[in-house]
Amino acid sequence: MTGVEILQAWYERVWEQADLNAVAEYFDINAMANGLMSDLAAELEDFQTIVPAVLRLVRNVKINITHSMEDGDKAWALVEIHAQNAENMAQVVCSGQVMIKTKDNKIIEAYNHFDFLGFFEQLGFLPPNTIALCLSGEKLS
Amino acid sequence: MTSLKVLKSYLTQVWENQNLTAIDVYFDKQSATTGITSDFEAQIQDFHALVPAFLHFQRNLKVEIIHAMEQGNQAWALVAVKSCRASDMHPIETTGQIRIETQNGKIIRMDNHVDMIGFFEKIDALPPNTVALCLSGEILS
Repeated sequence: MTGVEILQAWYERVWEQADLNAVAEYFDINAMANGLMSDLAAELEDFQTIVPAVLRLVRNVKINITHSMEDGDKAWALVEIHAQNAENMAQVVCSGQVMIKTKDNKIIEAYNHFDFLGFFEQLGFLPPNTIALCLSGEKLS
Repeated sequence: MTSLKVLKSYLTQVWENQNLTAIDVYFDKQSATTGITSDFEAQIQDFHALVPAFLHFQRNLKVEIIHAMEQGNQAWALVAVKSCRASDMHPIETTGQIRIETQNGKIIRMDNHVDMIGFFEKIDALPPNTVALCLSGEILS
């Protein structure tokens, strides 16, 4: 499997099908335990906590990889997530970029940057225009 | 100039050197006005307002490229933005991923995914652990 194929499979199994058992299938736990992951990279525990927490808030998650590149053991993708707010079934759209390093068809490093701020605005947990509010000196609590 | 060189040069000139007039040098406004990329013109206008707003909170900003890739007219970078918080000169770091498409050495599309929540936490505009708070159902205002 190429890195982008692994990413595609990861999104389908873990995020679209909510198969949390698959988290460990796609990550090389030994590589993580051996400290190959930097502080910046996501950790397995992060996914095992975050995935179910996010999936409680949304329904019918669909993830499209709109652009991707590969270079050796590295794969990068720009992704777009479409879902529905679990409270009122309103459309929710979120985008992000992810880079993974793979070895023997497993992810050994993952760097995720998703628009969590926009996601929480759409779900009503952050006010509209949070960026503008924060940049103008507002403190949210 | 390759796409990756354009991206590196843009990060240095606009963000590190705070050369705001360079925004118009790096972005192809003609593509924007002819509608090659949707919302691109608005994005450029936003940049003129957003860049100084972000720089207002930071001093001694340096952008470190941790990983990068390019393919054809597309370049991507995983970056760590290291700076000092303007209020007390405490060092802060914000990470993100940036993808650009170029044409004739100019940027015709840009996708920024920066850890905005992490940045706003560091300048005390958002409380610590905002992601965890929002995922647990807290509404910030």
